Amino acid sequence: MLTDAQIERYARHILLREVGGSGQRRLLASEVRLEGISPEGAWAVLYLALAGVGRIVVADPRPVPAGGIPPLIPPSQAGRPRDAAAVPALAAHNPDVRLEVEAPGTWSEIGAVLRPKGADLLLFARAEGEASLVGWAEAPPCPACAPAGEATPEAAALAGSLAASRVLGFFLFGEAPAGILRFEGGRKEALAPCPHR
Amino acid sequence: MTVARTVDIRSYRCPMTWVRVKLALEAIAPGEVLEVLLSGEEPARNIPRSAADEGHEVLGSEEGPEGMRLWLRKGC
Repeated sequence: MLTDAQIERYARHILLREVGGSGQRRLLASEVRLEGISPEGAWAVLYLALAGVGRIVVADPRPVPAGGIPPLIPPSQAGRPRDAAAVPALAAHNPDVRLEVEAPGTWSEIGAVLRPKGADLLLFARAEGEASLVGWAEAPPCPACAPAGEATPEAAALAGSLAASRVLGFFLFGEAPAGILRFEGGRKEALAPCPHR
Repeated sequence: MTVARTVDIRSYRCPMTWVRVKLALEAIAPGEVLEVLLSGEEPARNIPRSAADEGHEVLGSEEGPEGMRLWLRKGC
């Protein structure tokens, strides 16, 4: 049963035919682990917390950079472990979510990896230049296939929101079609599978 | 007509009126009847429309001293 506070908080989801009260209860019973609190990961996990995913585990002990990790972690947290800094930031957005830091942490060196409980595949999200790479795979692409480089904040935001929508699609409808897509300039194309992993 | 459940939305405003009715409809079985106790023009106009849009049957309504009673049969 949803509490009165939850009905208020998630009213807009309950109004959606695709979610409703039963879908919201499913989200509240779901769990996801985020490995890699990159800009993509920060956007994705923020959306998942706001959507009411019941339990979120974060893993990334690297220090928060000087500018913080928008939109989740402010510059005042610079130097703290990213996972420890993410927990109070997420709790401030939705006190309903149970938050944990995974210790010892494992994290993706490129982009973000989301592991929804019950999914056979992981969800990979990465911004590359102005492109956003998002999709389900057995393992994230290696650094050679998804090279490190500067990404625009817009691409990171898009990658994060696409990642969150895919994770929610798995929780609500069980959809997790394998294949990473590359979105750029209004076009999308399938990324060739990484042959190195 | 047997009413399976009654929901009182007189203290709520849009969109919480429909949110409460929708949750009450989710809690009954297809074919069962939900009774809605409402007041004011907005829900009187919008609740039957939203219910019909989502595939429920509007059986009728009745004005009473405590507000309007509306009956909805849950669709499949």
